[in-house]
Amino acid sequence: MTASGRLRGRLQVEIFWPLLLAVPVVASGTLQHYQWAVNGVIWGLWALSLNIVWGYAGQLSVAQLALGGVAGYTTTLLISLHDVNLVLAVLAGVGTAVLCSLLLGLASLRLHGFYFTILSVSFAAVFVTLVTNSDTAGRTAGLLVDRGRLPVVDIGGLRWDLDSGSGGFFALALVVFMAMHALAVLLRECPAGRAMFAVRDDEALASSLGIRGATIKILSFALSAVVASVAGILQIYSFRLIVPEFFSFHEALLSLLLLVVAGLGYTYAPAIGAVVYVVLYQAAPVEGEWRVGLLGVFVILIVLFFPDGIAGGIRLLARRASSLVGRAARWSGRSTARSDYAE
Amino acid sequence: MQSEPLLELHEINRRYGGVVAVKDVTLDLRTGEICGLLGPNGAGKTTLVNLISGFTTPSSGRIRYRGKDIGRVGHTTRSRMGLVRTFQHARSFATMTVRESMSVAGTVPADHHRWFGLRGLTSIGTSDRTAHDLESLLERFGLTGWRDHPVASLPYGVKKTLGIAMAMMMEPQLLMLDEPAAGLNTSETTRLQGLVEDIRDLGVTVIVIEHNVPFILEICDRVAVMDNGELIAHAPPDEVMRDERVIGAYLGAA
Repeated sequence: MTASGRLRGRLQVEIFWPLLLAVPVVASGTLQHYQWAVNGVIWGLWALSLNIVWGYAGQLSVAQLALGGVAGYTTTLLISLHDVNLVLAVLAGVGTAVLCSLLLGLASLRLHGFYFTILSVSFAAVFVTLVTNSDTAGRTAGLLVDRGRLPVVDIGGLRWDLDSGSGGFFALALVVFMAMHALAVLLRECPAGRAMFAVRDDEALASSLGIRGATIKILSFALSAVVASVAGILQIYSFRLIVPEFFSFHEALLSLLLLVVAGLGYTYAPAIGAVVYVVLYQAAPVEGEWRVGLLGVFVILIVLFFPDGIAGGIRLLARRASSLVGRAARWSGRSTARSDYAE
Repeated sequence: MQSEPLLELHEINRRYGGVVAVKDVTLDLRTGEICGLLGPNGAGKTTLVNLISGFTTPSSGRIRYRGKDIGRVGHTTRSRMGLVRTFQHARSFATMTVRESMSVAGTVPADHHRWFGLRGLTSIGTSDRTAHDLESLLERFGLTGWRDHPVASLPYGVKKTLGIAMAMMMEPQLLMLDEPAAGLNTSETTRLQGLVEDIRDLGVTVIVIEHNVPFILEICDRVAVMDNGELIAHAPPDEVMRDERVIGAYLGAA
């Protein structure tokens, strides 16, 4: 098999494996499990957005949920106030969030590390304060989102009702997640993605090799804002509601923890983050505040034993297993050689 | 060796407040020569390389590359134009393997400075030409065995060699090596000498900053000596070694 053939095969596996995670949900088919899975997918998307800007390009931004909020509020207000077509409103929402992310990206060129993170926290705080105090945005009560506007897709007589609580909306969320996940996998393999990792590891060295750090950072902000927008819009259509609380600092912190636990910088991480969210935040047999505590204990254990998160831990274990198999193969080869000699 | 100057520095100055790091340096480099840069610590050698590579802007003076003034060209674009440098301390992409690091250096296209540098950043995988260059460079630099090793786990000498190999992926016209032999053992240094000569034989002009005087004298066509920011000599090695000012300022022998 050629090198490009191997690469293509590996990419296909990396792109499509999260579909396996959907199997138990579809097999169960209960409304509650579908809702859990939709929430998991949305948190997977938040983690994915953060993974591009932080995991790939090394810019720790706490503003990703706020960017999703910008897209969500823009879309909702355009539809409710100006009766704009859904697709156009979504595009406008994503566009506005990308514009805001470009401002953040420009700020990241002047501020480094911790100082940029503080700036991103401030951006998120300003956004949440603005929508909490705006009558147009419905203050703390937020705005209702009309899911009835989601179309019924008809593919060759097969009806796909995106609004349906049982499966229809989950299928929409899953398709969106798979598309964004594929984007992230392919991004890592192309020069732009490699350049992001290079800028994260050593910006001066990268620039001596012709990589313009400014372009690469701004590109990572723009792409991550697209993913954050999609997550935000999916979330408000899932809850049929948009409230400032969705995009608060507490929620942003949760997305950060999920990504760290899942494995910062790994393309597998967002899907793993989605599973962690469902298991610890939805399915765990504990109530309310205890879930935060449970996640806290889980984070401590993972960070202590697998500093690279679950994805890093899986890779480490796989490497150890393959080296053990290699050693066993060499050992059995030697013993065969010895027995040949004895004969 | 007489050929067109590849790079011309004319009365270059660099001041940091009241400190003059580089003072009135006028220097030309010819295509395909190895130029050694000697001088005590703090003489301004690395600042001069920073000025040529664009990492530092001159306070005054002119820099011409292939006849064009490049004073206002940024360091990223300069590296794309063929002015490529390595660093004094082995810098590396710690989370990548050797092959990944090399491919980072080789896949950003030469016209990266156009379209805000976005053009050509979307092709998936590594092109055949790049893959071929990558493998042959790994072999030439003795890195084939380290190909899939994480850079973080490499011995220091191998890391420094990788730095030069990555710079070579950029197909440089002028390669600036900042203390390439520092921290290397004797056999690694001998191999490095051969590598630098191989690079010169490819038609690449090389500037080498080194404290290892025998290393410089053995491989360089000309040697430039700096002291307190000034260029005090620029001549073939045997002439430089007889120069009174060099003996007084750097070699310290009476």
